[in-house]
Amino acid sequence: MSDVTIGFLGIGLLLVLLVLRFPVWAALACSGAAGLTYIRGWGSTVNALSNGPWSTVSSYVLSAVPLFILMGSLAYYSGVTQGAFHAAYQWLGRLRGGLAMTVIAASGVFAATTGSSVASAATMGRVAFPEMKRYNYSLKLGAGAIAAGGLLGIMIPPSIIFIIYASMAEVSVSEQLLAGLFPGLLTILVFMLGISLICHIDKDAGPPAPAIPLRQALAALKQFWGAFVLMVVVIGGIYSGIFTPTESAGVGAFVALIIMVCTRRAGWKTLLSDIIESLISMSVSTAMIFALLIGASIFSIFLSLAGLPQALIGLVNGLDVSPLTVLLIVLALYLPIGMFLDSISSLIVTIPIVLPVIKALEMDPVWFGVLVCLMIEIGLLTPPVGMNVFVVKGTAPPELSLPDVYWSVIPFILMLLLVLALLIAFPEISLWLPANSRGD
Amino acid sequence: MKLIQHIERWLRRILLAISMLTTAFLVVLIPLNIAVRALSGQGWGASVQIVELAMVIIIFFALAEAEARKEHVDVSLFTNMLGTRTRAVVRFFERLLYAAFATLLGYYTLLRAIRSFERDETMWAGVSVILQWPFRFILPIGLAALLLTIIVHHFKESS
Amino acid sequence: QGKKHVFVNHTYSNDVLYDLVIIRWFYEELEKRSNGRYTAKFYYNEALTKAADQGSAAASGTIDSFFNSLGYNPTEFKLNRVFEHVGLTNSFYVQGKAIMDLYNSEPLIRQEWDKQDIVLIAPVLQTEMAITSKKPIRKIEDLRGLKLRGYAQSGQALSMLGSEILTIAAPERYDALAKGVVDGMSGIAVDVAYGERLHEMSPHFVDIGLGVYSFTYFAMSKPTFDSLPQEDQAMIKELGAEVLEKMKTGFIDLYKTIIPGMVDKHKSTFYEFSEEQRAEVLKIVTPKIWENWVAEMNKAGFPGERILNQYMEAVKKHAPGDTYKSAFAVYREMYPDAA
Ligand code: NA
Ligand code: NA
Repeated sequence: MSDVTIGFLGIGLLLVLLVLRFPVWAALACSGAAGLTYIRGWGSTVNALSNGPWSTVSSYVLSAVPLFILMGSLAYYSGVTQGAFHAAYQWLGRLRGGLAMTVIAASGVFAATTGSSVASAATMGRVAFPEMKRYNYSLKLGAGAIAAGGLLGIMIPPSIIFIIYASMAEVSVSEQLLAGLFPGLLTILVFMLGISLICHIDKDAGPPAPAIPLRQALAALKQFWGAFVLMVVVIGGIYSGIFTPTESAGVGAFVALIIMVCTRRAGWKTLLSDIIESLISMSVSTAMIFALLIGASIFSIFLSLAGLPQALIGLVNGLDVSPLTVLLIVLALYLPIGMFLDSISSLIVTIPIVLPVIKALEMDPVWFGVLVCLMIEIGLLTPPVGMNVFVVKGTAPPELSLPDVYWSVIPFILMLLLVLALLIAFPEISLWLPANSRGD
Repeated sequence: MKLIQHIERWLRRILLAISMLTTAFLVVLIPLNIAVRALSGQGWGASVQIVELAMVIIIFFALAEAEARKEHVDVSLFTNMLGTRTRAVVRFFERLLYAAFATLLGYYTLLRAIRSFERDETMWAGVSVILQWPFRFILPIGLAALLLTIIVHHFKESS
Repeated sequence: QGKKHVFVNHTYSNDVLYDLVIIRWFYEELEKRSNGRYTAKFYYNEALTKAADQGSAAASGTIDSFFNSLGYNPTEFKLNRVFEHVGLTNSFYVQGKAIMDLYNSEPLIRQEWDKQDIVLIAPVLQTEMAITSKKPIRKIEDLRGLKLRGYAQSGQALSMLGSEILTIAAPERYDALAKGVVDGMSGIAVDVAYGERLHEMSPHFVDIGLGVYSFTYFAMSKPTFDSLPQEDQAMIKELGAEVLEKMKTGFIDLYKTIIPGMVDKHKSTFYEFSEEQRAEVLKIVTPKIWENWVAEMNKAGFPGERILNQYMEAVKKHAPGDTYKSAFAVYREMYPDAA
């Protein structure tokens, strides 16, 4: 049997274990270990098991992951999301589809305080659904906007996906994080225009709310301050270079804690329990993410030894198609993968295989990271496993069924594909900011 | 059985508490390091390695809690299509394999930690040298807790 | 006899790194001389194992050979750290010759390799460890208060000279310079700085006289090596011995190629402290640093002083007749009018 055949058998074993509901991290590690043992003997596996977990976890660059998770969690408890929602509503509510736009805008603001996408969708669902019922909104439009708005959290910095991607692709973490800012803003713009278009076609989908006096609207801007401060700390800190991404995560968590103390409405007891809750969810999510990384580290040793990435590069070179075609094929692969795997798992499983191909085609890995992130966003909306759809269903009124929510996100998937096309056509959207952060 | 459940719960909680405290420590350490660096120009030489070691604690001491809260990602879509009995059988073998894997990983990281202890393993931290071996034992401890949680929770679920 | 693959793990991906050029040359030669019986497969970016675990990966048979830096395994290498002492020689060629002398003649040095089940094939060294900085450094006073990335013994040395030593994780090196977290990097060879584009932000290179003090090496798994036929082992050793010669001319050529671009595009300067300045630096730094190391070795039960003297003797033996030209010497020849 050739090593490449073993490589495919290893992937087959991985799939079987996943189907049996084996935890993804252990499935990666076990199929990797089995393949490694076949190719290089048991000693190699023992070495990978003895040393791999330590070297994967004791990473300075990746320490930004728990710290950004903590920052997002603290920001959530200090009510940044609700504040952003109410403030944005004063401005956008009067427009047709304004409530759905409010959801997108507030999600964009919350995105700057969190590294993931689920928390944002959950909070937004709790805040926005009651308002939507009050104004006779199409709940389908609302559910789609909430699920899609949550995606902004992984594109707009900070982003856990980007930190992990940068460490796997060996690109600068700060440049990768900055690369997501304009694509994130572009996504907001496209979502807003899309919602407006939908509401102009279907006049009942998003009736406008009464206008609000300017003074009141201006006063509402105050509610943005917490998110604004965090945005300045994180994006400003990374862009200006006052601190490294890792340090900005630490500072961000610290500042979020201060904001939380300053804005606390309930007593100290509640505050303390909120902090403890934040720490617990941080620890648990971090352990989950790094378990995946440990599994992936063992699996990717096996893939490398089996020569699968090399075989793929050879295959691509033999196909005699344009690099753009290859890129599109690679990106299309994320649709089926995203159907079953969660965002971080699909990143971790695929990057060791596809990145060598992308690098062999001399494409910019930072740009590719942004494109992959977008495909992963789409995966969070597609059935059967669409994390954000599940979360929205969890907070939605009972009359909205799970299939309803899946239907509701279809327009937003189309909008994301439009964003993808723009990002492919104009790499500068992603690369201009990181390029300009260089040099002094 | 009651006693084992008790031990599992307490072990898991104590480790989680240490993991949380370690993160809290980082949240204070990092801004402090930046502040000191800005004020005196003198950074804390070992901060990179301290953060790296803290990461080991944060992650391995929260593994069991993540398991207890079912945070570890799996794909339940296919097993959900099975009948109750078949599903229980598949689940049993899946858990058995998972427990075996945790045991294996725990065993080899323990051997690694012992070797590290025997050699008095150290690492460079900035311009000074610090002891590394005590931190190696965090892995087998965290994995032992994970194993215990897998076993206890499987029996709780299926009884 | 069938074809044999040799698995090589690499920590880095950068093709500009001359060490990688050398290791690729090594395997091309091996393939030629063995009539194609050996071919190498390269795995970059730590694809098979992290830098610190390369030794154990080799011992376990995951990889057959690798390129590494001694500093990753301070526990396994205690006495071998003698080769990382600052201020002993300015020529990596002399350092390499001395290393091989002791590796072959001193059982205590050899033992640290044998215990890890790895065989030293050749020191694939870094050239003179420069400081690259945003502002020119012309005298010891210029080092005072300078924020430098540093580590290990050379970090200690520079902090004795008044610099502030910061640890920056390797992947954040470029960022840290670009964003001004540090004013410069210490302990970096000119070609390495060039490979990582560090000179774009810190164009000024200075050699203050700490010399070569990095021990990077090319090693093989002992189980793999021992499994080879005697004549192949001899062939590999022979090739290993040629590495230093090959590097000596290679580095001079490399510096001749890259220095003009650095000067033209980024206004790089290359400055060596004068004899008096070097003496001054070593007066402040060396006795204490050497004594610390000897004391540390004594505490661990090793004859630190004897090994240090042996290394100094070996350096003295190989220094005469050395024809290596440093990057700084190459610069002086190409730009005789530069101040
Ligand atoms: Na974000
Ligand atoms: Na999906």
